[in-house]
Amino acid sequence: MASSESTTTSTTTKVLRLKSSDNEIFGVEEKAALQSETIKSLAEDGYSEDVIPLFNVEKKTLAKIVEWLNKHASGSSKEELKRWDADFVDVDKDVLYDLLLASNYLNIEVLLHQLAQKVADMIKGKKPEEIRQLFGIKNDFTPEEEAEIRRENAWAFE
Amino acid sequence: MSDYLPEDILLNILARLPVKTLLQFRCVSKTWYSLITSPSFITHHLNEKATSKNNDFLLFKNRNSYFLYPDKDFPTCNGEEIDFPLHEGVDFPSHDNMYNTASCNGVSCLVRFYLDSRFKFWAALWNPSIRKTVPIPPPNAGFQSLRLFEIAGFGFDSINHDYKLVRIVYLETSVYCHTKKTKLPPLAEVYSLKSGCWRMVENDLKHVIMEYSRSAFVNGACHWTTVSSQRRSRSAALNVIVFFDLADEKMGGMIVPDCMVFRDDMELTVTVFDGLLSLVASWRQFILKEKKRIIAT
Repeated sequence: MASSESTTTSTTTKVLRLKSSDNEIFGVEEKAALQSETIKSLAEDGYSEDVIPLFNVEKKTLAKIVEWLNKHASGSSKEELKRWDADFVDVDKDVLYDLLLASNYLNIEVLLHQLAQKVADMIKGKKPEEIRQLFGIKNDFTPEEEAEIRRENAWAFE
Repeated sequence: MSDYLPEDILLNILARLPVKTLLQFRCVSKTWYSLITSPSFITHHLNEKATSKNNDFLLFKNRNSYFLYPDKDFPTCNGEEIDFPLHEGVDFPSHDNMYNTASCNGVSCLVRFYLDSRFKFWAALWNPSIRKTVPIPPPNAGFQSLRLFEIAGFGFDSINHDYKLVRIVYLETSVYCHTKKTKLPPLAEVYSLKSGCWRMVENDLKHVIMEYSRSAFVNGACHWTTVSSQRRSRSAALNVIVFFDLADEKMGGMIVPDCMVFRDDMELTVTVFDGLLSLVASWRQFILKEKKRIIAT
């Protein structure tokens, strides 16, 4: 009887230890951590008793991710979460970029969608030149090729 | 964000952008161009739009002007007048009597029936978001004066991944059938965008679809209301909805709500509301959540 109670207690409050690429360890309640499909499958593979190594996420990004995981497992109301999420993604583009990569790697679909939507809202209405600058993309079209694409749908560039 | 962004993340972001923005972003780089113009991305984008529901447009026609209104802000928003890409008298006969038979996935099917020494049929597909048109070749069957009237329907066959246009032609007969001397079943032809051909389809339709009626495309089928004065026996329903399934290319029928079955004092039309087939009477709207087929196909 006593042992079964302790098992119940340990499953509800079980804490997983996540290790960032720069060796910082974060303790996260299992319920929160398992929102990440990647952590879920690592935990199922037997890492759960030990430290779960996340080689692709640095501590400053993992701290943000853990913050998000905890908030989304806290039972906050829908409205409160919405406000909180809006603040959460309101960061500069480098942080946004790191969070995008981390949520993609950790496979946290809800967060990935929020971040992708944030970037989409950010780049909507920008000119192609601004996009190249923002993403660090080299224009590999010749001026003639680019002019041709613009001509095809001239109305879209007005 | 100057580092390399993995393709799946980039696609996830781009799928959330409006068409106009995407057309501009094609000239960012060759990689972006091929991503944005790939069929798989176009499908992804369409699905993203379909689930978000926030980016639907309403297309309005006023003689020869066309306007796009964002659905979510209608009617308080300002519509955008868009250029019609075809030239009147050159690419098509006239804006008069031309109508949008149905829209599906942002593609509008324009149809015009006209008399030019003999009856002719003109149709084209138009995607107003990208300002592109695809002409549809003339159908096989020309019916001359034997033709009483015809109607059309358009939609997407998701089984065969094909856009299809169906044309139903009622011929005249000397045998009095009901109000008009309409021969049944009508002739039906289907155009498949994939094959680029028209093909006759067999049917056993015993109803006369309302003249000038537009089709409502939902659940993979085009729907129309029928002429109500075709009671063949006292127990036969007056009002029936007829549909053409674009995947199996078969006609069928379904009953209207009980209170409307025998009404002959109002005109009924079908349309799509919130993804459901709805029946519009002069003063009431019924949404048919469940299809009830009464006529074997």
